[in-house]
Order: sequence, then structure tokens, then C-alpha cells
Amino acid sequence: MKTTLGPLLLVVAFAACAAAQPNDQRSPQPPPLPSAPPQAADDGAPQRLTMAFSDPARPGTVEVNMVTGSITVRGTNRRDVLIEARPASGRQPQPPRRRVPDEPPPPGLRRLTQSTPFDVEEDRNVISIEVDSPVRGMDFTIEVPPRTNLDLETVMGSVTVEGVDGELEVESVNGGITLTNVGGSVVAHSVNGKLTASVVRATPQQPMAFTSLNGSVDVTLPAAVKANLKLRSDQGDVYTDFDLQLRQDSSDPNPNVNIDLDRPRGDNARQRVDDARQRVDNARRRVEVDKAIYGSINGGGPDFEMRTFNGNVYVRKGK
Amino acid sequence: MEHDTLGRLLPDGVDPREADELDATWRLLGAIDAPTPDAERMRARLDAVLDAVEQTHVPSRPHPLRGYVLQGLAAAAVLVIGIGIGWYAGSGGSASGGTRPTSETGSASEIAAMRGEMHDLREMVSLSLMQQQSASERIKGVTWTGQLDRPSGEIVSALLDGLMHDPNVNVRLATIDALERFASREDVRRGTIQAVQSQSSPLVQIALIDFMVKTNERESADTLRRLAMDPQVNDAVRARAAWGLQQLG
Repeated sequence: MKTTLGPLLLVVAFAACAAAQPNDQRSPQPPPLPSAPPQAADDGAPQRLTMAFSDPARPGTVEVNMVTGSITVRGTNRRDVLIEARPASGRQPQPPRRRVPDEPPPPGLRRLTQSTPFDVEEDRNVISIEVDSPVRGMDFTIEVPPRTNLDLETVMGSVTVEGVDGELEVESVNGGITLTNVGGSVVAHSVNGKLTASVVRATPQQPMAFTSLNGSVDVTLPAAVKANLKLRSDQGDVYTDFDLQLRQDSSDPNPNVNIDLDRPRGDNARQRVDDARQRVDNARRRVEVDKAIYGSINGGGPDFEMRTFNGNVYVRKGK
Repeated sequence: MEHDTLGRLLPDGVDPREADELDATWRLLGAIDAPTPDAERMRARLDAVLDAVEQTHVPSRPHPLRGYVLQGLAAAAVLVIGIGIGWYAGSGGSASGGTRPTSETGSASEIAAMRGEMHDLREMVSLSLMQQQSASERIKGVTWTGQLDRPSGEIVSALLDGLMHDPNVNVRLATIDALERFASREDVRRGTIQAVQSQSSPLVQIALIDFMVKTNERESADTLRRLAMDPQVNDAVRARAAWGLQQLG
């Protein structure tokens, strides 16, 4: 994005001829460009800026990498990316080792909010946002074109994605992850938070993964999606209303186990798929270790892994 | 950022929106001379061919759409023969006057050779998928290794490398499943024991402890003991390590 001036001025004349036309053709309603420069935030006023993809015709990628703060990304009907940043709301856990302790302002003075510097960069259709300070929190609200790839990472804060279709990679250590009406392929992990995803379109042949250590994993998939599910909860239970065909195949690391779930047929109630090991007669040691349930839905397809250690796993049939 | 630069440079009376439009045009112009090969399409085509070939190797799963399979087979055969001819022609040219195996050897060895090439191709695809930018593609590459009959050491190293260095937790988890069939190899034993200590994700650590118990990796006992005692380690991991020790003991 570093445009040197020389060539810019040179092409201005040429560009002027062509300027109106392509713009009119390509975007009959040019999205408003509130290109306000980042300004000192005054008590919660957001910093806003827009960034364009170098090739808006192809789906771009938005990457956010931060430590403290939440990320919300919405797919909207626009071609560029609108970034709003504001100081993180107080609910985040206090970061450790704060050098200056919280204290009341001296008499007659008020505390000003310092804006946290962050970098936004575009390189070959990838817009990356990085927050310089790991200590000061930022909450980001980002609007992207509906077809965008995302790579979002935060440590203390939640991640919310709505209406985005693309390759979605989401990770949070201490916050929950909520993906609503998303499409494409999802690879998501939260260490301590709950993971909720409603996927309305799955890219064929593309694997997905939804995992957590201490949170529940609650995934809604399109009713007709073809997939091989690998489901596992170490301390909790696994629930689904999909017609899950338990299967053994060559890649199944546990081929000797033959599990028969005597579930009520035609019952629409969410059926409980019990721990595999409890149904297995020849409970050998390796069977006890591998509690994962392998099964296919709608004839099978790419691997979808849903796994948590301390929560429950829910796989719901969407519309 | 560009807007700022532009805004400052503009003389009074110039509409900043017009400048924005110029700016957009400038960017469009910049985009023109950078045609990129359509990697996705190429991948899709390769996938389609490989999928079709795979059908032939899985006799236990009869496909209801026999017509499509035959079409796929035909396409795959044409491709393989094409590659074969290309390679033979190429090697014949450089080795100047070597015997032409096509005419002299039996078809059985040809088929064996093609099978070998197909195997190499699949390995190559797995390896290249594991290098992709997208985590979902990397998971695909990892699971694909499960389809290889006799994977080379290169595949095992790539899986171990993924386990140690992949930035995505879910990809690392997938490598553990894929490594299970190589659990008897020395480098895999060493790699997993090393990984369980250096791993930043508790879920991956737990999966590795399960791996060790499942594959009865007794050499890991010391490491598991250390994990179980280490107050820095996640509680769930410590409990699992203690459980693992018990299972191995």
C-alpha cells in the first residue's frame, strides 16, 4: 500500500479520464468511505478507518492478532473493510503485571483514555491488524465483504463472526467463540471458552474442526452436509439429532471396535450418543483410551472434528 | 492511510471524493498487470482426478454411480498414460537411445510403475497440502496421509513437523491421529515425547498423553511424571499425565 508520489502524479492525468467510468460500472453505489484518520479516542469513542483490498474481485483475507480484547466481524454488503476500534470494555480479566496500579485521579484532574496504537496493513489481498500493546485492551468491530477469509486470534476476549463465508480460522484462549450464519470451512479452538457455531454452507471436501478444552462445543450444520464426524468429550457427553452412521474405515485408528447404538429409530428427539466404551463388549485397554465416536452423515465426506475435554459436544441439524 | 496522504496533498477546491475515485482507479490499474494462476481451479481438477483414481483402490465400497466412476476412470487413465508418455519421452531423449520400456516390458510392470507414480503423486499432494496457508487445507493434507499404503519417511517427518510447529491447534491435533500408525518408529516416539513437553495447547498435550497410553509408550513415563508434578502445567493436563502414568505402570 505504499504508493510513491511520482507515479501517482504521472497517472493522475490518465486516471482522470478513466476514473468516472470504472467506478460507475463496478460499484453503482460506492460504499461510503468514512476514512477518518485514527484519532485520540475520547472515552470510548471508536477509532474508525477503512481499508480496501488490492484485488476486491477475489475474496480477501482479514487477520487480527491481539492479546487483550474482543473481535467482532460482520459480513456486510461492502467491498472494503471497515475497522472500528475502541478501548476494551472492563469485563476482560486484568492483565497481569500492570506497572501502575489503578488509583483514583488526583483532585481536580480527570483521566484521559489513551488510544492504543495498532497497525493495519494490506499486502496482496490480506489485511492484517496487529495491536502493538499486549497490555492495553482493544475491542474491534470489523465489517467485511460477505465472502472473506478470516484468521482471528485473541487471548483475553471473545470472538464473534456473523454472516461471513470463507476459510474461517478462529482462536481464543480465554473467551468464547460465536459464529453465526457462517459458510465455507471453519477451524476454531477456544481453550477456556464455549464454542458455538451455526454453519449454513459447507465448502465440499473441506475439513472442519471445532475444539475446546474447558467449554462446550455446540455446532449446527446444514441438514444435508456430507461429512465424517469425529466426536469426543472426555468429561462430558455427545449429543446429536443427525442420523449418524457409525463407521470403521482404514483411517479409523480403532478398527476392532464394533459399536451398536440401539437408538430409537425415527425419533426426532435429540438422541444421546453414549460413550463408545460403555457399549463395547471386549473393553480392551486401547478401547478405553480412544473414546472418540467416528460416524458419517449423509454418506460421508471430509472430516469434521468436534472435541472438548470438559464440556459437552452438541451437533445439531440445521435447516 | 493512502487517503491521508492524498488528503494532505490535495489543493483546496478539489473534491476529496474525486480523489478517492482516482485513488481507487489507481489501485485497479495496479491490479491489472498481476494475473495469478488460478490455483483453486487447478487444485479442484487434480482433486477430481485423484478422487476418481481412489475409487479403483477401494473395492469394498461399491459405488452406486458406476457410470460416473467409469468416466472418472477413463479420465484418470488418460492422464496417467499422458504423464507416462511424457516421462518416457523425456527420459528417452536425455538417455539417448535407451530401450523403450513401453514396447518391451509386460503390462504388469507398467501398471506397477504407474501405481508407484500414483503413490508418489499422492504423497506429493499430501505434502503440499500440509504447506498451505489455510488450516483447513493443512488438516486435509494430514488426513490424506491416512490413505497412503506405505508412506515414506518424508511424510512422517512432515507430520512430526506439523505436530511441533503448526500454529493451529486443530492441525496439531489432527497430526496426532495420523501419527498413530507410525507409533513404532523411533523418531515418532521421540517426537511425541518431546512435543508433549513443549506444547502450548493443553488439549494437544492431553491428546499426546492418550497417544502414549494407547501405543504403550513406556519411555514416556519420566516425561509424564514431570508433567504431573509441574505446577506450571494446566491442571487437566497434570491429572491426565498422572492417569497416563498409572496406565503405563
